[in-house]
Amino acid sequence: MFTMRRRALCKAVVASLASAAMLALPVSAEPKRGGTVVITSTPEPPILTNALSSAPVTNEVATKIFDGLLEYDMDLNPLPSLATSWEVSDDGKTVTFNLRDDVTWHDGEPFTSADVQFSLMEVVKSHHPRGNSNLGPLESIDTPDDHTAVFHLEHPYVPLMRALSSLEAPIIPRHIYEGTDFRNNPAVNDPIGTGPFKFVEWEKGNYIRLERNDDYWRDGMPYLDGIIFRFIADAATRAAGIESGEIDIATFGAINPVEMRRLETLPDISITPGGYEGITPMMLLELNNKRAPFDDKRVRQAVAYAIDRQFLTDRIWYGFGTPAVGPISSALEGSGAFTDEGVIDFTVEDRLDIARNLLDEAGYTPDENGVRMQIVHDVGPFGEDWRRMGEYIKQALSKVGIQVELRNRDYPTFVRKVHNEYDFDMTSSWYIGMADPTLGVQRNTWSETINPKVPYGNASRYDNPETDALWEAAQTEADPEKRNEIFHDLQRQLVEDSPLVWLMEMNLVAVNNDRVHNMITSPLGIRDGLYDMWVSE
Amino acid sequence: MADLLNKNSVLRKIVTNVSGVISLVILGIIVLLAIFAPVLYPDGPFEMVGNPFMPPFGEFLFGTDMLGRDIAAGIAYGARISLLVGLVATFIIVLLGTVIGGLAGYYGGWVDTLMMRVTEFFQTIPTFIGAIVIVAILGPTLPNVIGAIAIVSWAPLARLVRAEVKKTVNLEYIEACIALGMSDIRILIVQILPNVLSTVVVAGSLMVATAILFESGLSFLGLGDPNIMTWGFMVGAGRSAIRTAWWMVTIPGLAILFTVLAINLLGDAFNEALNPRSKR
Repeated sequence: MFTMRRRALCKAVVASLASAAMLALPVSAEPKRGGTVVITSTPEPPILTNALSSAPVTNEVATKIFDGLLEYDMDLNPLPSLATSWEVSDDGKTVTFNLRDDVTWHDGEPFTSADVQFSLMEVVKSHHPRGNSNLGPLESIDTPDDHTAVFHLEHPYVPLMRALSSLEAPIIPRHIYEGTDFRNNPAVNDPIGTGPFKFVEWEKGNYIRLERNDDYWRDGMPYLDGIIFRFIADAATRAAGIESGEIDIATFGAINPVEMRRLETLPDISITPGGYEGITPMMLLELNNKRAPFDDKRVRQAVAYAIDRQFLTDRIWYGFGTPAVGPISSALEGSGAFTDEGVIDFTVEDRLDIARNLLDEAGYTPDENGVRMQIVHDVGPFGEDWRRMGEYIKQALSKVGIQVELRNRDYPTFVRKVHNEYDFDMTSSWYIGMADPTLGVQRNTWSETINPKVPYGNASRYDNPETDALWEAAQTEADPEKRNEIFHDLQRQLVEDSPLVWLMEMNLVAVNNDRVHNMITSPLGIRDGLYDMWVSE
Repeated sequence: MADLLNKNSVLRKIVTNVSGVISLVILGIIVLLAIFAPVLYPDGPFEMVGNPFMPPFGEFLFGTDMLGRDIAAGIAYGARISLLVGLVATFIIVLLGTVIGGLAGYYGGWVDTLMMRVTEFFQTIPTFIGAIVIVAILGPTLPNVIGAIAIVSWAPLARLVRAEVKKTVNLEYIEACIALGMSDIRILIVQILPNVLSTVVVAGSLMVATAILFESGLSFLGLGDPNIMTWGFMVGAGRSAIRTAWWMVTIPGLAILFTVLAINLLGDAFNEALNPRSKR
C-alpha cells in the first residue's frame, strides 16, 4: 500500500515536472514583442554619445542607439553587425568590410561607408579615450562604393578586430556631425544612430527614455517597445525599486553588493551570470615603482603575498569576482591569451612567511613594535566598498609589519595626486582589460603610457625594456598563437616583477527581475544593444 | 548667586537630582569603557576576529560587522574618540566664545561692532554644511574634524557670553572696581567671569553633546578619519547592510544616543544646580 502510494506519488511528481517543463520550454524559448524595461544605473551619464566618451553609463545608454561594425560571441570571435562580411589581406595590413545596404539612420537618411570612414577616422580615433589604442595603426579608410570600407593599417593589428563593437567604436552619422564642433553638436545629447532603439527624451536628474526603432535592420527586432534608464540618487531606494518590481534591471554598482546578495534570494529576482567577458574588468593596487619602499621588487611581491585574495573576493565583494592571477583576466581563456603556467602563485599556504622573508631580504627589519615600514594607502574614490577594502588591506599588511595609513581623497584630488603628480605610495583602482590585452591591459605597464597628462595609464611608472619589447611585439604580431605566447611571457614576467598587485577579476553582473529574458547574450551583457531582450508578464 | 567654586554644593545638587544620577552613571560607564578599551580589546577595533555578519549576544557580545570585526571593540574605541572630540572641541568653543564674547561685551563700541559682525559672519553659515566644507577642503583627519566643529560652533556661545557680560558690566560693583583703578583684564577675569561661568558651563556641557553628534554625522558621511574607528563611521558603514544585519547600525546608534542623552541630562542638572531660581 505504502510503496504503491509512494510510486504513484513519484509518477505524479515526474509527470507534473515533465508537463511543467513542456509548458515552460515554449514560453521561455519564444520571445514576445512588447513591453518596456526599466534599468537603473549610476551616476547619470555626462553625455549620450559614446564616440566621444568612455564613461560607463554613457556606454550603457549609447550602445542601444548606435551600432558598431561588428559584434562578438562569448569567445570574442567577431560576428556581423553593420558589416556583413570582412576579409583580411595576407599581409594583415588591409581589411575589407562589406556593409549592409538596408540600414537607415533614425532620421531616415541612408547609412553608407562614408559614415564608417568619418566615424572611425575623424571622431573615434581622435576623440574616444581609447580611440588611439583601439584604432592606432589604422592609417586610412577607403570607400570604393557606398557599401564597402577598406581599412589600411600601418602594420598587422589583431586587436582591431576585437575593438569594433558599438561599445568601443560606434558608427555615428556623418551628415549630422561633419564640419561641426563635435563636442558642442546638439546631437551629442539628442543622438541619431542606426541602433535598435531611438532616443526620445532625457529629463535630467530623472530618466532617459528610448523607444523601439521600427525600421531597425534586424527583422522583427527589437522585441521591446522601449527602455527607460532611471537615475535615483540613493542606493537603498534603487534596491527598493528592484524589490518592488518598479525597476527591472540594476547595473553593477547601482546596488551595494551586500544588498545584491539579499535581493538575489527573493523569488522574482536573479543575478544572471556573465556579461563582462568583453571588457574584463580587473581590480588592482597601484604601487609607486619610482619611490621607496616600492622601488624594490621584493617589497612589491611581499604586498602581493600578504593579501588574501579569496577573503577579499568573498568578504568585501561578496563573491562578485574571481581572485586574480596576473594582469590578464582568466575571462580571456577562450582566446588563449590567459595562462597561470609558470606564473608566481601568491595564494600559497605559507604566503605570510614568504612575505616576511622578502621584507627581511630587502632590509626592512621590524622595530620593537614589529613595524618594518610605514606607507600611505590612497583608497580609490569609488565608494564605500572600496573604503572597506582599504581597511582590510591595512589589517592584512600589518600582519607582515607594513603599517598603513589610509587616506580618502575626493575624486579630482585623487586623480591629480596619483595620475598627474605621481605623489602616492599605494592606491586601489580598477581597469577595463577589454577583449584583447593590447587594448586594455598594456597601458598599465608599458613605459610609453607613462604620461602625467593622461590619467589611468601607467601610474606606477613601471619601465622595463623587456616587457616593453613584448608589448610592442604583441601589437604587430599577426599570428594568434604566437601572440598568445607573448602574452603568456608577459604574465610570467609582470607577476614576477609585481609593479602592480592584481587583486580580483571583477564580475560586473546586473540584478534583474525574472520577467526579463535574454539578459546576457553577448560578452558585453547589459552594455550591448539589447535588441533580443524581451519580457514576459 | 550660586558659586561654582563651592564644588560640594553643586555636586551634591547634581547627585541628588534623578536625571543627574542617570547621566553620571551612563557617562561613567562610557568613560570606563574608553579608558579600558586597550585592555579589553588589545587587538584594536579594526582586527577581523571572527566571521562577518555574526548576530549579537552570541560568540561576540554585540556581534561582528561586514568584515568580521568585533562591534563591541568598535564601541569601546569609538567611545574614546567621541569623548575626545566632544571635550577638545568644546574646550576650543568655550575658549573662543568666552574671549570674543567677553571682550565685545566689556568694551562695547567699535570692538563690539567689529567682533559681533565677525561672529554674525560665522552664524550665517549653516553649521553642519560649514563643517562638511571645511573637512572636505582640509582633508579628513581627526584634528581637522575637531577644528571644523569648533569653527562652526563658537559663534552662538560668543553672543551668549556677550549678553551676560553686558548685563554684568553695568552693575555698580563693576563701576566701583573701575573707580578703584583695577585693570580691565583683572575686572574681566576676577569680577565678571565668575558671574557668567554658570551660563558657560551649562551651554558648554550641551556643546559636548553637539560636538559628538557632529563628529558622528561627519564620519557617517565618510568624512571622518579613515584610520580611526568611530560610532558614526560604524553607522555609516553598516547602513548598506541594514536590511540583513540590523545590529551593525543599531548598536553604535544606541551608543551615540545614550552618550548624547546623558550629556544633555547632565547639562540640565548643571542648570538646575547653578540656577538660583530652581531652588525649591
